[in-house]
Amino acid sequence: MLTKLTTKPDVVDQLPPAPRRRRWLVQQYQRRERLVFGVLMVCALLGIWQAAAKLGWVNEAFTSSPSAIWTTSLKYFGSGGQGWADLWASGQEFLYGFLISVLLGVPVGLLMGWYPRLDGLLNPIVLFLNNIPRIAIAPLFVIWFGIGMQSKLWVIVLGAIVPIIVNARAGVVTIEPSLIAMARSYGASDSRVLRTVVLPGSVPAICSGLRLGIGHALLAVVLAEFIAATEGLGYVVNSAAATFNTNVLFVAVLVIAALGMAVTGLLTIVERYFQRWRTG
Amino acid sequence: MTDLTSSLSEGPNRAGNIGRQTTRVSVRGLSVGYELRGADADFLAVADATFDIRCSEIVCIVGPSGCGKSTVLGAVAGLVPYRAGTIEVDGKPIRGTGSDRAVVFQKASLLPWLTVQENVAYGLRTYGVKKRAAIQRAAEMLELVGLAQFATRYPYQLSGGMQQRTNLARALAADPNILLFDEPFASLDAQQRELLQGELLRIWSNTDKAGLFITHQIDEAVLLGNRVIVSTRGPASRICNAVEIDLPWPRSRETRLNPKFHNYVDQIWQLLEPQEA
Ligand SMILES: Nc1ncnc2c1ncn2[C@@H]1O[C@H](COP(=O)(O)OP(=O)(O)OP(=O)(O)O)[C@@H](O)[C@H]1O
Ligand SMILES: [Mg+2]
Repeated sequence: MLTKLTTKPDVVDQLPPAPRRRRWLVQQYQRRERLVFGVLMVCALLGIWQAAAKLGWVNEAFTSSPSAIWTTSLKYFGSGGQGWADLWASGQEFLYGFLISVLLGVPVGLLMGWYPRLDGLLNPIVLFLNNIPRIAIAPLFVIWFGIGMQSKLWVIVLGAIVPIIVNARAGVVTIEPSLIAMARSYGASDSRVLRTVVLPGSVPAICSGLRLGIGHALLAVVLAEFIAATEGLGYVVNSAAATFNTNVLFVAVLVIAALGMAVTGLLTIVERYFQRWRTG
Repeated sequence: MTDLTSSLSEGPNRAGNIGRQTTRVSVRGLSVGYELRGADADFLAVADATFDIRCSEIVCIVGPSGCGKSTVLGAVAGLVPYRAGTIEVDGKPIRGTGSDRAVVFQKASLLPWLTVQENVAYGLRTYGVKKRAAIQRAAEMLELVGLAQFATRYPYQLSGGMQQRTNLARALAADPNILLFDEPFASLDAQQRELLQGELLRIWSNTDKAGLFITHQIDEAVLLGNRVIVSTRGPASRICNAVEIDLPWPRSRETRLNPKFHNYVDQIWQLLEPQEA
């Protein structure tokens, strides 16, 4: 109903036919201006990079080049290449680690926000983990659990769970108190207040926690594979760097970035569904 | 859960005062203090509130901003703990909130992730009413407050006044014995305010509900109230001084034309005035 007021046809119909097309193009451009600018920037950078490598302004052995990265990635993901296996290994670690972090972190954060005593109890741990470079603890897990999946999952959970807890907790604490009073005035039980007010009200904060968690989890995946692994994207980055194979290094880095962006994109869709009351 | 429409037709007539003798809400020597962070002593918001609300009555409270009107209402609702005094409902001291009381909050307090209809049904759902029945009744109440066509909108798509009417409909839908109104019409335009005042009078003409109604508008208090309680300025306010409004029932817009109406308005003005200086 609201969109009806702003749709273009009524306006466009009154225009003479010739300019209509230009109008349309201009509109398309205006709507996607940010995207156009972003693409322009990326293309420019790639062009400069390619030129610099091929015209000998820089040493291509060190900098690689877009075209070399392209052919390398075709080989890496072609038959006989390790690409899919590495992606699968890292993707699995990421997925499991992130899922554990969410399933543990969201409830813990919500309960910490709701029960001040639990908050007091756990706060020192969360505060400590939130304020140290957590990846520094990672080698400890390898000592404890060896170089299998288990130690990697611990590293990833350690990385991702802290921002998830902190944000879920903040989501509860910042809920409008008058909404809780409203529910209470109808005699709502603790569990009903949690279910119908606190949980939905924390969704935006939980989502930003997950967003941060994705980044931290990816970092942890790469790091865990730096320390101890025989396959995976982090392992590829590490071993490519050791052999000065910049082409492969860039491919692996780009794949990691793509993985992160894909998961963030999925999250955005979920987020939009849960927040339709915000965006309309 | 009594159906409002049936209670409208069968309930005792307010003019007949069938339930008049029975005291529904009794507040005696209520005092409420708020803990202040970093301070040794509590902040004494209300020193003494004493009043009764009998069945089928509306009691209004007027008083300067910050004198503790919402505080008293919150205490009666069971939301604000009090330090001294008693609050009895139907002869029994209250223990926290209850399904016999519902509040129309000063802030609309709608859950932004529920549609208007689901918000109106929220109280009923909390009482354990089945979804179908609750939504059905919510639809009736939305009709009453003139928001039927906005049932499936979200609160952010409503104006402030529409949100406030949703808030009102939510409490009415719950249909408790005691309704607590905290400046429910403050953000409405004059026309709508008059419309809903009329609606409230209509509901109360045939009910044994008790109403506590807070307002800044003295004429509104005189029009709606069996009694108007004038609060002193806070802190440590006294909310005891009741003016009995002896205007005939049933009341309506025309009641404003009654010469006694303006006498009451003047009288209450004067009771408030010394504090304004
Ligand atoms: N949660 C709270 N903590 C501390 N002080 C409070 C709290 N709520 C209210 N007060 C204080 O209690 C006093 C009464 O507040 P209250 O909200 O009851 O006023 P009111 O009469 O409803 O005012 P208004 O007409 O503006 O709504 C005020 O001085 C206010 O500062
Ligand atoms: Mg108030």
